[in-house]
Amino acid sequence: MTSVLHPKSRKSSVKVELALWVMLLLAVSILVLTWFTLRQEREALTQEVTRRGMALAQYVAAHGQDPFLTNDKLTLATLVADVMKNEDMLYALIIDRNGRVVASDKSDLIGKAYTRPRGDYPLDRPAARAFTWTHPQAGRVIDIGIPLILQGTSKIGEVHLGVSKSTIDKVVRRAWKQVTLVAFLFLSGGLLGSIVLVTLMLRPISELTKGVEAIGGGNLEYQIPAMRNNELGELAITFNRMTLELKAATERALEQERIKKELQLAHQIQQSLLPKHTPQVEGFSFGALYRAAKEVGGDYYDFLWLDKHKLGIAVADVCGKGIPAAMLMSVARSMLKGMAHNFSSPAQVVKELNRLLHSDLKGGMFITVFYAVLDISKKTFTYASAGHNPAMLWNSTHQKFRLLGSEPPCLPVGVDKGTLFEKLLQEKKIALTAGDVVVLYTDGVTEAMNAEREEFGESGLQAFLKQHKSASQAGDLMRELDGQLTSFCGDVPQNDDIAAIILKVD
Amino acid sequence: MSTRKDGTIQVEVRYDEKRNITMVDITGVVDTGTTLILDEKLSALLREQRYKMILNMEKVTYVSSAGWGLFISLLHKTREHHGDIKLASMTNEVKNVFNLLAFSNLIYSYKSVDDAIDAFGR
Repeated sequence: MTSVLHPKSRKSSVKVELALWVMLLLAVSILVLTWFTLRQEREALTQEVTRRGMALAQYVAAHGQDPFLTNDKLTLATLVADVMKNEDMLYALIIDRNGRVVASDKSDLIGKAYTRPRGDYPLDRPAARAFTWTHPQAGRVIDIGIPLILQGTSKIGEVHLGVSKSTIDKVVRRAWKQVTLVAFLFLSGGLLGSIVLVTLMLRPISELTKGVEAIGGGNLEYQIPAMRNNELGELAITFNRMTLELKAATERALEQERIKKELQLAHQIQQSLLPKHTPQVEGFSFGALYRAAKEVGGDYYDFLWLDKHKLGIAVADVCGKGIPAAMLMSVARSMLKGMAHNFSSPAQVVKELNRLLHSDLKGGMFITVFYAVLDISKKTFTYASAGHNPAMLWNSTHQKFRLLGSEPPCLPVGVDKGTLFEKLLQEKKIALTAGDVVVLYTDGVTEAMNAEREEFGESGLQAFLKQHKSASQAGDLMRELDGQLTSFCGDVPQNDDIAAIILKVD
Repeated sequence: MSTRKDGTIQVEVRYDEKRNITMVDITGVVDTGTTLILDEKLSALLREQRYKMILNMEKVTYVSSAGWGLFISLLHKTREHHGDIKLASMTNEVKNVFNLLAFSNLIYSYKSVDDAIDAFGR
């Protein structure tokens, strides 16, 4: 969590970490390379010193043979002194076959027994050999030994030259020192350089980080400045594109949210236009159902009290669905309410509605309307249907169904300016008796579909009414019908708006 | 109970250039969704000034109110240009709604496409 909350401290640590790793790698590389180089150098120098020592030893052996045989100590001393003139020559001595020193650069050793360095043995081959040992004072020494051979067969003595390795060590040490100094300077410079380089390289990342912080803060306008055409540059371009897409997506989401809210509002408005309660009338009971396929619908139902005894009942269906249908429905509702109070005849109300709406309706829009007036005291039901599904009457006396429609059918409201419409529109009146049930509905009820793509149909509605004819209240019947429609459709989404009214005579 | 097909539509257009009649073979359902597709095709025909149309409804299983609205609108537009639309070979389900809406008073319908062609010839 800390690193997430403190991105800046994490960034600087990356910088230093990267620089240190680079330096460590460089330092190890330099050290390994130097070590190998100096080891080679040391070997080469050792070989050179050994070769030179051997040449000198052979020189002493060649020139010292005769003086050795004649016991010419002066010549032998001169030979030894000559050899000792060479730099790094620690000692030079000639011993006889008994191991006694015959000539030496140190005169006090002459005549004494030669003490071999530890690990050295008398020479038993005619060739020269080099043997490295550690001198208590002078350090590492290469002892070059060569036997003195008489007439090519018998060994009469040995020549030993001691060449110090300190010069080689000194050269190698100096080289180490120089390399270390150069490496230190180089690494220091490299460290600074790499910090600068890493800072420069990380700058685009810091720009990206700034961008992420800006977007995280809600600033979707933020665009990262143009960068070099490399991987980070590509990342910046992708990032900027992503920001633009994010902005567009956010705007789309906001727009959708706005539309959703408006639709919710429209839904609330439409709900408020529908009756809050069904009428409470002695001798009758009512049930009502409204379900829009979308947020708002083009179906409509209403109860309108015209006077104390007369109740206007309307069910209408605007062609299409959604917002255009809902808008037309709200206009038609206002007009119908106005007309219903001006004219007592249902046919007259529908005619007036058609006359008013026809001029406003364009593009083939129309409304099917079923409008009836129920006379409470006389128990009569007077109705007119303009292209609407016929209402269904369950005649309790005869125990059969009757469709209350228009024969011949009439056009819906809005398609004809008047003459034809008014000629076709009829008004009919029926008397209701106890137990009668009238169902007014829109095609959303009969065309409700199940998963097998079967429609509920008029037959479904009739079967339902037969099954529930004993129900005493229309409200209960409607709840049952709603449940039956829901279970019939199952998971199939509602395709059309549904509106229905049930009227039952007690 | 009646059944109806899935909510898809196919529209094919044939021309009888000699009689200047356009025949539109519709297959599927004409509901709120597919009406938009059909509207586009028919509007394109109107732009080509094809004002005499026969809609072959033989393979149409359902027409919603939005679909009927489209036909009424098309009727007005073609008649403005002395043309007409005629419906041919409606299935019983479609014909029932056509009758309920009393559209037989506005739109001429025929049992077959040939009858509709003959009617244009008269």
